[in-house]
Amino acid sequence: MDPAIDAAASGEARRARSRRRLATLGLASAPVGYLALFFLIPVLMVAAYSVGMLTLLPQDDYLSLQPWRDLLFGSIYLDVFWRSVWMALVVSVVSVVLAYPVAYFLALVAGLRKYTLLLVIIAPFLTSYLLRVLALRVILQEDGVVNSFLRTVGILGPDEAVGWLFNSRFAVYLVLAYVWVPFVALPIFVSLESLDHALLEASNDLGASRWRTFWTITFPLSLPGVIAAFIFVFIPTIGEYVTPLLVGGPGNFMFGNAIQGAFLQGLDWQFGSAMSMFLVFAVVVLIVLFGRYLNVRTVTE
Amino acid sequence: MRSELDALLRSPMERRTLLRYMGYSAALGGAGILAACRRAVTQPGGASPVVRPPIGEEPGVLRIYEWNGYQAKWFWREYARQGLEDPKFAFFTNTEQAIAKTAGGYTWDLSHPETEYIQDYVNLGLIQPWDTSLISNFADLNPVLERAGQLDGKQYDIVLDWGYSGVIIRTDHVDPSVNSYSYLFDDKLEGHISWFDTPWILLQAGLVLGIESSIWDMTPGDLETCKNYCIEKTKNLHSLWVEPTQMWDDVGQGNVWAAYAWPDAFVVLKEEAPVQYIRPKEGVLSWAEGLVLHTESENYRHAHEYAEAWASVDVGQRLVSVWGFGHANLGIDLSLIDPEVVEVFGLDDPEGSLSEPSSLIGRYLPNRAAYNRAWDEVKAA
Amino acid sequence: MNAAVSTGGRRGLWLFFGLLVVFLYAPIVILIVFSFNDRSFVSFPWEGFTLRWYRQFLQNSSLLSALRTSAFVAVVTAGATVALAIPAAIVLVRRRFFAKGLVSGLLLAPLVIPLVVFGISLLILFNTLGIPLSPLTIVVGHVVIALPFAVLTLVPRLERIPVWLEEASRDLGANAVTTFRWITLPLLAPAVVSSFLISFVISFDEIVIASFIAGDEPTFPLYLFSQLRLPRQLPQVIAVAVVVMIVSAVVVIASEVGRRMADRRLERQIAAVERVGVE
Repeated sequence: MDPAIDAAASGEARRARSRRRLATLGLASAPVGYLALFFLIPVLMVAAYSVGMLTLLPQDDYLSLQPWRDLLFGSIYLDVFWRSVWMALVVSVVSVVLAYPVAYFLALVAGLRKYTLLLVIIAPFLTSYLLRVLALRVILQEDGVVNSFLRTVGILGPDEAVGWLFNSRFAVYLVLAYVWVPFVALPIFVSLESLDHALLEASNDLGASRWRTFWTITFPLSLPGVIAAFIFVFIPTIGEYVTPLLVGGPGNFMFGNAIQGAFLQGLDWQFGSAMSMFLVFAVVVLIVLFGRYLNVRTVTE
Repeated sequence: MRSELDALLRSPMERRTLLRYMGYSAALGGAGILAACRRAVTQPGGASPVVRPPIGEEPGVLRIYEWNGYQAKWFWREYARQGLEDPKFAFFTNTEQAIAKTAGGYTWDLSHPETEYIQDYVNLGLIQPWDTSLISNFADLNPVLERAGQLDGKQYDIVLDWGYSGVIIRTDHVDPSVNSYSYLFDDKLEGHISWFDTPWILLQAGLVLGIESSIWDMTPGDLETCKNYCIEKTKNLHSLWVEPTQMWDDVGQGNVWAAYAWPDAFVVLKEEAPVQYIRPKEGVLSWAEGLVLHTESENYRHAHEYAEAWASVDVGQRLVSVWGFGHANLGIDLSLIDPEVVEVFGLDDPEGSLSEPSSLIGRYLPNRAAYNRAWDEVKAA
Repeated sequence: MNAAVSTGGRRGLWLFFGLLVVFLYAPIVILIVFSFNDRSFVSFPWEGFTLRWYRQFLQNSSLLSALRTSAFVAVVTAGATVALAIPAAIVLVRRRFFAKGLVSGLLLAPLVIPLVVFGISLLILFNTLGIPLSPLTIVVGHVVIALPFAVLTLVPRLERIPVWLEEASRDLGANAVTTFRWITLPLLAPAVVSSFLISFVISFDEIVIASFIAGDEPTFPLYLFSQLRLPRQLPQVIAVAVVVMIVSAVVVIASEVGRRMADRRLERQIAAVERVGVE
């Protein structure tokens, strides 16, 4: 063929590709630009605040690492941080363990009704969280529904009550699991739903029991969804403070409570910023470690 | 992906576009941070003598940053009767949050903080003094309270409502004659004590222990002592209440025998359970809150009218009998109020009850951050 | 025989699901009961049936205004989020470029930032830029945290729309915009609706960020939380919540039914096209 036409044709293709790349950049620039302005910059400002590059209150020290020193050396806050990590771990494991059968049920057992049933477990989210916690208090407290029932049935004496249902670590775990299980069931449901039934049937035909099929085929294939679900609960829960505040009682002071307290009770913004950045760095480390599973495509596969 | 990157970098047009985008974002980020550094310097609140326009020329709609509940019309009925426009209300959860948000740039005409936060607002240059001559019923207000609202001789806070942070006890389990904050730290009541989530518990510990320095400005040593005492006593706790209904329920049902409480708990529970409200002998910590005026408010005269409406006797009458909070107006007719409530509040001698040593009205905490961290340690224990 | 589960397993899973539903709805039932309880405080004992909380909330102008503000913020948030999530999803699914890992990381990052931190830093940012606080500033914050959820809803749906449908359209002469408008978007519609709804729900119930960057007009959750110190209006609020829940449940169910119908239509359309291709 004529080299001139060749050159013209490939030049045409190159320009088309460049246009496509520009279009890609243009498309990406809206959400990315938005997040850069309203997410990245605020986070950078908090970082700057934590080292005194930015000050607002008269008691703030300009350019000081004291808040970081207070946080990292010989303080209770690191213990509180690990306690929060442990809480997040327990809540995540419990939520995933409870959500898996729900997702399995919806994806593989519920049949045609699955989406409606999925909606049924998501619908409680439409009620305000605070009101649901208030209602849970009514159920769990010493003179609440559970204890009254136990007394009526005779398991408890007339003056006895199970005190650890509320104002306790158990209550924190219960309420957080209550809030998270429906959410956590979703990605697991999605990954189970796209499972090819032919695989299961093939395994069956080859003589494997249902349990064996589950452990060797179903579960491993659903693992990306499970891990993603775990991370989606785990990371935000480290900074959780509302639930420990409302239902935790003494001994349930979490890192999120410390951050909130520094800003909203102590007017101790620099220290609060240092704690916040510490949490952000910890979370970044976790993302880097588990980053592959957080990739958007893996989550949805 | 590598080949994409190579291709991208090799093509001059794409490289330039990419570098341009990176430059924009860096510039944006840098500009943002620089701007923040420059603007974050607080202006000192200088009050130069201003000529105030007459009331007709002010914008008119008061913006009030309040506790949720105080927007009820009966608080400002007098104000509305004068034909002035209805105010607009925004709500905060507690005063520290209000200060944080105001310091972050949120503005209002009036807010409703307790006396211990006046200094914080003044330090930030956010509030200006009132002109009490513009408030016709100011002379009817309790002078002890109004003194608490002053700073450097200027009336920054028109104190209008008050209450005690005392103890409510179940008389069927606890002996009222002890009459002390020690109820909240009593090992004999293990498992039946409830604290409010506030650093004021440290102050109460200080009162019980009889520390040397002022509870409002403790030395680090005294703060440490109070903190350790509180940490030791957390084992006695049934709960740490955040909203009052929870505590009312627990006391009413007999799960809690001694709780940090405001007098409204007594008003709610007195018909339902054998309770008594204690104003401890060490002096009862009291909170007094009132209206403050923002430095940049353009509704100067409207604000004064609003304060005057709030300060009226009718408001006070209703506040005491229905809400169980005290009011600053001394003209309240005691015969219309439940005698138990009169006794709990000490309303027969309002000035005496609120003066020291029987009552310790909330004062500024110069070391608030240190107190907060100590309180954090108590909660973390 | 069912390869996934035995009969006993099936019964067990139904039971488990049933118990979960009971557990999830028990507090809701309690709230409904309390909304009719003739007692000023949200607690037992039961003191008689009343509709007065429902009557009172209808007269409570600041409560109603907070509801309106929440609805406004939630609708605008959902709209803006979807408007940003669609290009993001397209870029992640249909395009290849070197920074894709970074971009998907950035899009998911708001999921993991503590809301207290984010709320306060946004407040400082608005103050620095001189932007006054208003429902729109709340929208700005809510869009950031809703974006990951919206993107995660759109991406799987977009992946299931076969690329060759769009390529066929291009081959027939349509440009990118037309293709998107007439081919991709209608097929994407159910996911668009879902992500709109998810963003709406997230924004409507969000409290932490709103508490910092709301201006003079509180949202409903803000109004609720500020009740904690003086809980006199709590029964009215519960009546409101019951009404809100019923309304939104109806809306979500209706949308779900619609989505299923659209899904079946998509399958039929793809099957029809495939048949055409085969012939």
